[in-house]
Amino acid sequence: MNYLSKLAFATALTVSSVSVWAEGASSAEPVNAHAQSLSNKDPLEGLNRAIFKFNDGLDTYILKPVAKGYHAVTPDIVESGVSNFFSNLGEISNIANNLLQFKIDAALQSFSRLVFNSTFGLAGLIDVATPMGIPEHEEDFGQTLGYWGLGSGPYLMLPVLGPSTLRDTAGLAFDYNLNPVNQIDDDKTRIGLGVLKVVNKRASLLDSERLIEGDKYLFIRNAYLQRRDYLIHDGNVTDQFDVDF
Amino acid sequence: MKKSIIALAVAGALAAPAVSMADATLYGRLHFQMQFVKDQDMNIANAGHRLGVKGESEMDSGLTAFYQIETEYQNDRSGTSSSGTVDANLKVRLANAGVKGDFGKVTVGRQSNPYSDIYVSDIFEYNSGVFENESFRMGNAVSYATPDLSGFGASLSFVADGTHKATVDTGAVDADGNAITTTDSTDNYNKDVDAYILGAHYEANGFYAAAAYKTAKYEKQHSDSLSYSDSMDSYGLGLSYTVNNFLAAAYWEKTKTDNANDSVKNWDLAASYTMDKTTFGLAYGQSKTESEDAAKRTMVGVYQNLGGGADVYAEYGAYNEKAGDGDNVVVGYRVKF
Repeated sequence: MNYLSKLAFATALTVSSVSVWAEGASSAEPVNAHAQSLSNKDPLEGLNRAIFKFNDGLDTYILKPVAKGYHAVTPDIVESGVSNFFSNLGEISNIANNLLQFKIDAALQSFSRLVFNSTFGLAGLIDVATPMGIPEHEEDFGQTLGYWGLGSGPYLMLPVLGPSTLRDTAGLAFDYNLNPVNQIDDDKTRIGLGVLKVVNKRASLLDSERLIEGDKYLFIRNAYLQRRDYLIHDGNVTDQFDVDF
Repeated sequence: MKKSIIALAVAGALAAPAVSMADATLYGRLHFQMQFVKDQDMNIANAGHRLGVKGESEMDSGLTAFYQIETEYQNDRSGTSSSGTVDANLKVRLANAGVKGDFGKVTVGRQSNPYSDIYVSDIFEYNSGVFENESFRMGNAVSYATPDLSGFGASLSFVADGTHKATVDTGAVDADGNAITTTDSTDNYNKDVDAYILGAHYEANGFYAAAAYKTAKYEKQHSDSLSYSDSMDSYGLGLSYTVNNFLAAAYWEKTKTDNANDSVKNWDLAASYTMDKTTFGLAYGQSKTESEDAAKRTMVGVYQNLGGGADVYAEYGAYNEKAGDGDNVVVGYRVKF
């Protein structure tokens, strides 16, 4: 890999940390009530904060400026096409992980989405399945492990990859191998698609990151942990929201 | 949605009071497929455009008269894609009339073949009917079907195809020594009743079973030296079970044609599962003669009802070499009215 490839690869991985900002921000309750229980999951806070600072720098000086430029020159319809394309490829992981969680209906619906979006949706550029009434069921292997009852383990801020837990980190390899882009032999094509995915994703989050307030590290950590809990339990959150009373 | 526009149009055009006019329903569909078949050109195909009219009316006796005519347009034939307009072959699928009442139903003309009631595992579109020996419809036919007897039903049909003429040996030979044949227009060698079909079915609590027998012989035995391929005997059984949104179906049939010493045995297993408006289908089938390898196929399909009479689907079929090796991916769009 030459320098540019390395940079592209690193950039590609950084996006997951950013995407949690937005996804967490949209679903997370204010964090004060059970911040204590969440900080119990972060015994490595000192190390994590150091890595977070590095990631944040990477985003501030490289990824975010690139994403801004991309957003400025790319029509919205292209951005959503790119987003749909990668989301469609993600259905393969959704099928596998839904099956592993014995969610047969969700696996079949993910399969239908893949079939119809890949054909009528012109190789996934258009999401025709959603208006057709077939809902998306996003699952990854970290969620599958959680569904099987494996605890999250300590919170981890991964260099470049962003927020995770010990369990979710273990799940990354499984999902990585199910992504068709990662199976492409040609380095330029594979890395190019990886960069496009990340930059496109980052660009889509430019607006929502304004929701972040207070200690950025804590905000992201708590949002991430709550979001994962929410996803693993398919919305049936286990937290008790009345701990203040 | 069915529209009774024929009756309205006729009544309007004649400006006459409607005198117990049959209420006709116009119906049909336009059906397209994008077909990707192994080793073939891609094709955006007419997958069966149909137009039909059907209806029924009460007769003076209190019995019900009914009728149905259903056509199919075969346009987009070879080499016509650049023409502004194109001739279509108009095919008739159904053209029948009859009478029904407490006694059951008598139908005359081109109609559904009751034998096809056993083909319960035929749940596909492009890959439909591959290993089925008998057709879904028949002409020159009269049928009697019993009314529903607590889930039981039976039917008896016969076909009298007077247009079928036997080819017979004149006894003479030409200069090369080949037998000279002629078409027999008398009833010396042509049979009056050419085929009989017997069908029975039972249906209760999601369970369905059908059995059918068909024997067809269009010609009297006239010469051992001449082959005639119109003699065919088939029998078969179909079983299906539907519980909630799940369907499991299987059929088996055996056919013997006079020309072939071998009989052909077909079987097919299918399952489908419906979630809301999405249906998944899975099937495996075989067709085998005693002396040859089995033709095999495996199919999977997903079908989405879009409402408003429209649906889309995608199918994949894998065929072994004996079955013609015609692996295919087909996506379809269909609008019914």
